Amino acid sequence: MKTGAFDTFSTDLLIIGGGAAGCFAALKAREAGVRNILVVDKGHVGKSGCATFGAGSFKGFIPGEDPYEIWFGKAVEAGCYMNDQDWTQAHLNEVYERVKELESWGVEFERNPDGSYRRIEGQGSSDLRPIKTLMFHGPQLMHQLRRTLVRRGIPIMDRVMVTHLLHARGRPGVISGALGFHLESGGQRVFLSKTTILTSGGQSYKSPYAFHKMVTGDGHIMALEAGAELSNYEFTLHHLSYAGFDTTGMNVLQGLGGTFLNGLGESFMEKYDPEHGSRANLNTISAAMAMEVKEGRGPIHMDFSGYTRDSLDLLKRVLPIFHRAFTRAGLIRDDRIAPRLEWMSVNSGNVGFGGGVRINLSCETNLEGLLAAGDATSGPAAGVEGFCAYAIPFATTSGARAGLQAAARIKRIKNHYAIGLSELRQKGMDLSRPLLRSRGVEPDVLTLRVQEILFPMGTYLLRHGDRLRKGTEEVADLKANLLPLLKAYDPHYLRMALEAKNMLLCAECFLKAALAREESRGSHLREDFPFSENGHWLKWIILRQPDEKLKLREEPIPIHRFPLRPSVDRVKHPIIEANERYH
Amino acid sequence: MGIQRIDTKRCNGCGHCVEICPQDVLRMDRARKQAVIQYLRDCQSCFLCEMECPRQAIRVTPYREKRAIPAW
Repeated sequence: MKTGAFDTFSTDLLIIGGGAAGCFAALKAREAGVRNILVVDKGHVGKSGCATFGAGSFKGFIPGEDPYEIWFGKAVEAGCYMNDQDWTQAHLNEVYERVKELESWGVEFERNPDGSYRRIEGQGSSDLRPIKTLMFHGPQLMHQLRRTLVRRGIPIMDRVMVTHLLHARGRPGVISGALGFHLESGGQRVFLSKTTILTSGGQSYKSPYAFHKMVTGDGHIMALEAGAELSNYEFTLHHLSYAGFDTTGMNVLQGLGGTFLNGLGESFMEKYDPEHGSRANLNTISAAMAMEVKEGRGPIHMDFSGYTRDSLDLLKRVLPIFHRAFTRAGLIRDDRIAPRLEWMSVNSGNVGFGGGVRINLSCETNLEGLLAAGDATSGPAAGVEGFCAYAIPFATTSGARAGLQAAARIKRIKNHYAIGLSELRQKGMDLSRPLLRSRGVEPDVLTLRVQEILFPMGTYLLRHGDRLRKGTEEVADLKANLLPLLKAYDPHYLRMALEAKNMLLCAECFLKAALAREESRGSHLREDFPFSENGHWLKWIILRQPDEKLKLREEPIPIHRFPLRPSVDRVKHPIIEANERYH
Repeated sequence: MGIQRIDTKRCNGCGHCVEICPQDVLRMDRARKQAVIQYLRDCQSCFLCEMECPRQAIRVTPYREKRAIPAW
């Protein structure tokens, strides 16, 4: 098909985003017989996306070794019943096959001298209900996935940012391609595909303290703008980090015995989560930290005094970036780590779990021809923060499912649907607009304004309707007055401008969904609605954007047919309850 | 901060760091045939370029250029 001035690439299967989910989708589709595949990434596949900086831990359920009831129960419990429990079951049933595949492709997991897996009891584990985590060697996982793609002859296009999905001509419910540009040449590229899989990750809001600044909700917004539904956007990742600079590896740091202390030197987590203490999940610790700070017992420190030389050896293998950064800063010296370091909570959007594109059990979206997997989705297996079924492990299981589903669809379709040329030309012009402005504002200005709205603890951690409403007004003002002025000097700045735009539009999704959910549930802690209202709020909030205006609707979770249901209709959020009990 | 320096005596211009940088911070200086830090403000101090450089020509610091907005 002719597309005029655009460089055009035709493929059976287009995969947008080459992280763990995208690589799995490509490899499984190839195994299922799809010959013509193209993986496109704005970075370099194997060195980009969250999985590259995956912090050494992989919660892989091992049949015969792990108790299924505990894993499933904790996934739903920490998912706060927002899980699609069909997905949670499918994930747990399939994740070990994905582990074996990773190993067959050269990914290394830590092993004991006897050859068994060396596993750590990190985040979400307790003596009563242990959850053991496999450990991999940081960037080695994605390095091996790229090598496997190359070995199988699967084409990769690096450093091309896909910005728009394209519909089949005259069929707004069908996706038939995509548009993007090369980060160095700036040349626009059109992709024509029988099926497209979105695996471009979540939204980090370029959060400080984590290496996820390339993850800017690109897939969420291009899907939303094309007519897809988002879900779970009110639920967010509350990452924890050293206050001095970016730190990933909480699971391992907690598993090795790191504990949290308040400004009085007290180990406070036992008050808020007696079962897990300092091994609690991220939103629990973050909310507890915020309560301590609010009550005047900050700052918060992480205590490493229990660490041994063996702990540091392990850190060097499974968290090589952490080890290098802390050594460079002089915080690891002579095989010892500083005994106490100031620690922070950080709003990291929906990396690992939380909001994204809504999918069914086959990874299909509501648009024909568009599938999604990994962090680009709303994380249906994990719900709010079902740590037994999120992040890289979910990227592998959902990526594999998406690849197989795409293969089945491609077998059924004889020809590409033609794309609409007027839509292509319009989107091409939209894409270029920041480059064509003679005057305007730099992307960093908008990025910082979005962060100023989202990062204070009163917005994302201890939420309140008044503050969320103010945030939505500020976002609306930025949309009306700053977004139209974004200027890019060159293709690099164009990427930054589009990322800033996506951050702003995702912020709108987050704030509106958080405002709509008038209860508290996991990471969604509302000071003005302190109870989890199981009677009313076992619902997913679904976002759509018909006619450029964001619309929300509630959809009841089919909890009656799921294995696990909450035992009470109404219960106070445990962090608020604990704070009232002790203070 | 971010990438602290690229040692011009060591850099052999292979371009690997330019290719892999997740934040698109680096470019090739075509005249000198060496990598240069083009967009330092966007560096996320992830150390990938330092770890991958075959000539150990790059040094990164964990402290970043941009202001971080703290939760409290």
